[in-house]
Amino acid sequence: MLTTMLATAKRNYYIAKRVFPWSFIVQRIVIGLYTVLFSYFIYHYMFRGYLDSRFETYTGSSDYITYTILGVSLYTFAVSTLMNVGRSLMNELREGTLEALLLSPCSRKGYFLGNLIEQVGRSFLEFFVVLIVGWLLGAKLLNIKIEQLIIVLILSIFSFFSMGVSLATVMLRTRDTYITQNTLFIIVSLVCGISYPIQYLPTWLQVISHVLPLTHVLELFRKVVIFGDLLWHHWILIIKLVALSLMYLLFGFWWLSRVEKQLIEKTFG
Amino acid sequence: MLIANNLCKVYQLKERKGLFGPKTLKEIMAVNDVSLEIKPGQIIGLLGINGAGKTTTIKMLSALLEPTSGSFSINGIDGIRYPQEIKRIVNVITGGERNIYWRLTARENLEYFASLYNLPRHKLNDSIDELLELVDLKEAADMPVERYSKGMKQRLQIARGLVNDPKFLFLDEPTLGLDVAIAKELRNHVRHLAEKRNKGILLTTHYITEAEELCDWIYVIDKGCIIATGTPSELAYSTKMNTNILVSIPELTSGVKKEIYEIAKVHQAKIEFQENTTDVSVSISAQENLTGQLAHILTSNGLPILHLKIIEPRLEDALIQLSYGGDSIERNISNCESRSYKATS
Ligand SMILES: Nc1ncnc2c1ncn2[C@@H]1O[C@H](COP(=O)(O)OP(=O)(O)OP(=O)(O)O)[C@@H](O)[C@H]1O
Ligand SMILES: [Mg+2]
Repeated sequence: MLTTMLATAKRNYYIAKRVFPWSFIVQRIVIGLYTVLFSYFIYHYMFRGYLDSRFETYTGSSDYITYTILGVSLYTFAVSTLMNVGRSLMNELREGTLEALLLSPCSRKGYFLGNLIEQVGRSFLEFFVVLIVGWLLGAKLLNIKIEQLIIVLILSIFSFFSMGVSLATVMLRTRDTYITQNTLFIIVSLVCGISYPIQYLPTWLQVISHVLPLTHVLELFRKVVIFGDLLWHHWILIIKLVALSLMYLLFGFWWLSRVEKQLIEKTFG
Repeated sequence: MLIANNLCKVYQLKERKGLFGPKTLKEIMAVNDVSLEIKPGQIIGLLGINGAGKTTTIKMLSALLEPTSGSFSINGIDGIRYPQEIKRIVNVITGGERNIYWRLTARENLEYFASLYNLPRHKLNDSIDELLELVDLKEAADMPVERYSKGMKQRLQIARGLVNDPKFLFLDEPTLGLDVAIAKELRNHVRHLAEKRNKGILLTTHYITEAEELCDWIYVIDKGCIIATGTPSELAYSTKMNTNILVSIPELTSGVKKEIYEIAKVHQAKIEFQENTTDVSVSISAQENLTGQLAHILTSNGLPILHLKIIEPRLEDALIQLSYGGDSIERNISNCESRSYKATS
């Protein structure tokens, strides 16, 4: 598994060095910034800084700008990881290399992990660009405890990776990246509490919020950044998050082995 | 040794009439009761027309596709139960330009694929250099593959197929689209791999000369069934096609003519005489090669042979006869009805 992981990371690094995926990176940063600015303008000019009283009840804070900016930056990070991991196998299919991959006894875990670690740096870059612009717009980020933040980010990577594996399987199954990814991202941006608390949503939609790990990661992230909380105070949340992510991960791999077989059955010549 | 017993593959194809019509399930028997054997160092041909089931057979033997029924084993490893083990010791090379990363260089490609087989690092670099040398890509080794010509990509494919030093190698139309010189070079590689490296090779090809030149043994597959097997020459003769002899002599006496008629009668040969201005040409066509007997008649009568041409039956003709049928051919399909197409709603 380790060999496959390192080799895949190295391979992606070579490819990225030759054709740097600028367009995707810029696209995600621009969408992130656009969302941040949009919330900023609505808040300041439409609502004139007025917040529904429920907001404070739901979030325990009245700092809407920081709330949104944390949401959007982590969302950008999630989308970036999901796209890179999720599209990996479909790219192999499109480039005609999937069969060679399936022909080898290589470990799928290693393969996905390789895809993950190669792009982590770029995903962080996108994350921090959005965060810094948010800071310039007035988000309060300076009382972050670094070691707590690092743990949250590690948990985020784990949970986005797990979702990515499931997403990769869905994409391979539907043989589509475009519709699948955009549907997912719209749902995620609506129900995961990116720029408003999920309690505003009807209860049935909140059910979806709760099965998406991003909702929980985001909650944890805000607890740490806005309130400077210590993580172990939220161990139940962490267990929920890890368990949920693990489910995505295991389900993704289990389903992938079936989808791979179907795919070969359906490939002619 | 590779042993396959009674392999069958049924594909299920869902089809819909129109946009909202009812779905029907069509079953296609792509491979029907195929048994074959490959020993190390042997080159085995699997020949057949388009859609005969060659690629499907190779996919099953490389543990990519699960057979519907039947079994196979490679060096004693059960292919159905231990597909991962099989994948370690076989590899497939297909024609065309797929299965390599165009944005990587040849060396990076080989490094990557070698890592997928978990090869130890110190062995890796040496063997990659060796492979690049073998397929003559040493100079272009550090150039991205997208700048390669078709032939270069194809050669890189071959190196990719050898990256795990497989014991058995399946070549699915490996010379597709290559020019004559490169195809010839490739055939030399293949022979080298079998003879010097003791690899068992299964080759499918649409170029009959290739099979004639390389294969020790051939299986002819049609509609999923093995319909004939043998060495290339056995197969060529087995279809009861005639050997033609064309000979020209300065003159023809009636005595000689009579003697020729006699052997023709015994062997049920067809004879034609043609008197030209300077010589006489005789053509004899029979299932057996009558050259020796004819030469004997001519020389014992003191007639010099001005020109002699022997046209032996070719594998290509045999294959066409076998696959497309012919009244005079008994097809070995007693246990194998023609491919079944079943449709159920
Ligand atoms: N995935 C699939 N689903 C349904 N039918 C298939 C599938 N793949 C192949 N077939 C059918 O099975 C039969 C055998 O196909 P196969 O690709 O093995 O032939 P082949 O001998 O390799 O032909 P060619 O010389 O054209 O490469 C054909 O009738 C083909 O249409
Ligand atoms: Mg084929």
